[in-house]
Amino acid sequence: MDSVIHAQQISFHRHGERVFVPTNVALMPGQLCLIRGQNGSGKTTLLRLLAGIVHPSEGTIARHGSVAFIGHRPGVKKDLTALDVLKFYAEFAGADPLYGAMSPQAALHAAGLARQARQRAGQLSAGQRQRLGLARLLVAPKTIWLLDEPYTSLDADGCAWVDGLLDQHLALNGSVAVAAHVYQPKLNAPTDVLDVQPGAQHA
Amino acid sequence: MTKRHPLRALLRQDLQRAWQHGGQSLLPLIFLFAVIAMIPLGLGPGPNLLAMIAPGMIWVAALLASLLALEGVFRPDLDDGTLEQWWVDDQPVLALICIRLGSHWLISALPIIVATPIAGEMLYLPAEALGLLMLTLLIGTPILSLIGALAAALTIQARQGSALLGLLIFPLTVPVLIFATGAVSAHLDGLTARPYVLLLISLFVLAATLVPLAIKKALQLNLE
Amino acid sequence: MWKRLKLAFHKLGSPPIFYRFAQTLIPWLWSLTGVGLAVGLYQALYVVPPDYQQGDSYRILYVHVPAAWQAMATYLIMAILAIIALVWRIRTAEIMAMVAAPIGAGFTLICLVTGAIWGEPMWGTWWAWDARLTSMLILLFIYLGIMGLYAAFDDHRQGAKMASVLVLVGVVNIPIIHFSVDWWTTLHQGSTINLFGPSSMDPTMLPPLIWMTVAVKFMFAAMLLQRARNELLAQDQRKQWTKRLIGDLIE
Repeated sequence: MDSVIHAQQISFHRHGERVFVPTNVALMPGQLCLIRGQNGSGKTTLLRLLAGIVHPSEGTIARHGSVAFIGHRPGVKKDLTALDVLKFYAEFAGADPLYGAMSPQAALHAAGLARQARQRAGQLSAGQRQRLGLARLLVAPKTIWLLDEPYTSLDADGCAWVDGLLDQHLALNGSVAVAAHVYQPKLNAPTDVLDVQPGAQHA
Repeated sequence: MTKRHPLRALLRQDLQRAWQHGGQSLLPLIFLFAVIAMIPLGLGPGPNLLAMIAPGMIWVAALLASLLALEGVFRPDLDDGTLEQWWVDDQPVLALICIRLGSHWLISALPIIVATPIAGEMLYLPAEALGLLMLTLLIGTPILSLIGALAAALTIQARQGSALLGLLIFPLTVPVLIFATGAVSAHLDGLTARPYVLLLISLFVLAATLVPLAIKKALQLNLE
Repeated sequence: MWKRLKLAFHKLGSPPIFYRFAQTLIPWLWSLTGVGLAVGLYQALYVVPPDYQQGDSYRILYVHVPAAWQAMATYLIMAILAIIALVWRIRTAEIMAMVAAPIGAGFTLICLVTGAIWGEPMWGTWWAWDARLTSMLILLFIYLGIMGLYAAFDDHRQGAKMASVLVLVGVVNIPIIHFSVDWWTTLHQGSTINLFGPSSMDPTMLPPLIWMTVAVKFMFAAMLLQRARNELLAQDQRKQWTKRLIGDLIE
């Protein structure tokens, strides 16, 4: 099978310097890629490059498949109710026909937020907001998941829930790239590790 | 891909949030009336003087009021991480920007246009000028929204961005102000307002074609 | 040909090479400025005869007009640099565009102040809403906006990018502003007072104007390179090339 994301020698320049050493990424269907690196090593930038939010300063990226990106700010409007947030994403991003989309209510239930459906997202705790952000993956499923520190602010239950989501997605031949520097996902599927090295100064 | 309607979703969300904020969305309108009320207090209530300056004053008040809502055009979306979603998965970024501008105009400028007859009455605006004034506002305020949103996109991460907004916007809106108020005073002098209105329309066409591209570039630079 | 030009371009984009380039050029530019100003001012103050209507007060034109021209030319140069900065992401162009803004604002201010000083004896008022003065005032605000935007970012390069976009928006807008202000003054004043037009000048009055204009161009070039060099040093004070340079200076 062909890779869903194929990046060759990509890097991003900020202030005329490489943020990280040029990197190859080949993400296969059913594969999870764990992106590791110290703080400031460019994990976030690499994920944003893969998502297409910023363009690489060098190298090329090819994507085959729909993309979901969840950044370290989960993309949740604080003045909307939890239910409205998911309704919005269901319509805004749509569902890839390869995967079954959940209804917003079912997704809230899965995320353990059934009782918070009518609460404004601003009133939720940080962990609950993170769950709400991740629940987007259920209402608007995509082939390629790009997750930036998805375990942030989650409790043990939450982390287990995310691991379950990942396992399920990988079993359906989906692909995931996760940046995580503390928590290690406990998965059934094999994990590949990509170490990002901070870029050296050049000129 | 099934059921993806990003433009409809964004428009619905913008209007829904404006509706939820209720009174807050009407702040520009209230501000407009506060400015209108200050004018006779500063200049005296003489009907002749007020009638003469009414079109210009209403336009300046509309320009000031349009500044108020700009903070909310892009900054909250950048802060909560929804803005970067516009660039994921081949979303139509330029169209999304236009939707956001359109909903911003509907929320902040349309109420002002609708309320112009009342503001005109307060300043003794001659009745025969009202229709034309509202027409110039209808063509001109979208230009203000476009320029304002560009300035908001440029200052989105700046220190004291809101203080800068006015400085960036006012010079760029000079032609709009001149042609809009020129149209009304030409009409009141018994001349044709046609050339002014046509100039305003061409300004709108120019701004509507170029400014969204500049906004896209500015937002993209902010996401880097 | 194009390739070689591009290479030269990129070479100048490298800070140490730009530094040496600026370093050799700046003294020459300042000397040419000095010569031009000396000849121009001497001719303007002592050689050309007083005007039969305005007396000696018209001589301020020899400062006012070159400043006005340079104020506008600076914007154009800044816009070209901004395009280079945004499209090819060349840092020295970015810095030069940004340091050009205060220089442009300075010339605009000189133009406005000398205009006011000239206006007082001519119109009996320091300020008139004349089309050119009004356009110049708006240009000053645009320059100040660009400077303000650049200064409002902790990250210089981010600020420069944002301000460069604004510069380009201004390029489209300035002719429209100029046109609308012209229209506006004819509407409100009936007839405009056309003081500043070298076309109506006597040919004997022309040489000092040419000398002054050329001197101001050199002055602009010198100031631009000098400010760009300083800004580059300030931003790169922790970089290798700066340290090497300082090391050379200490030895």
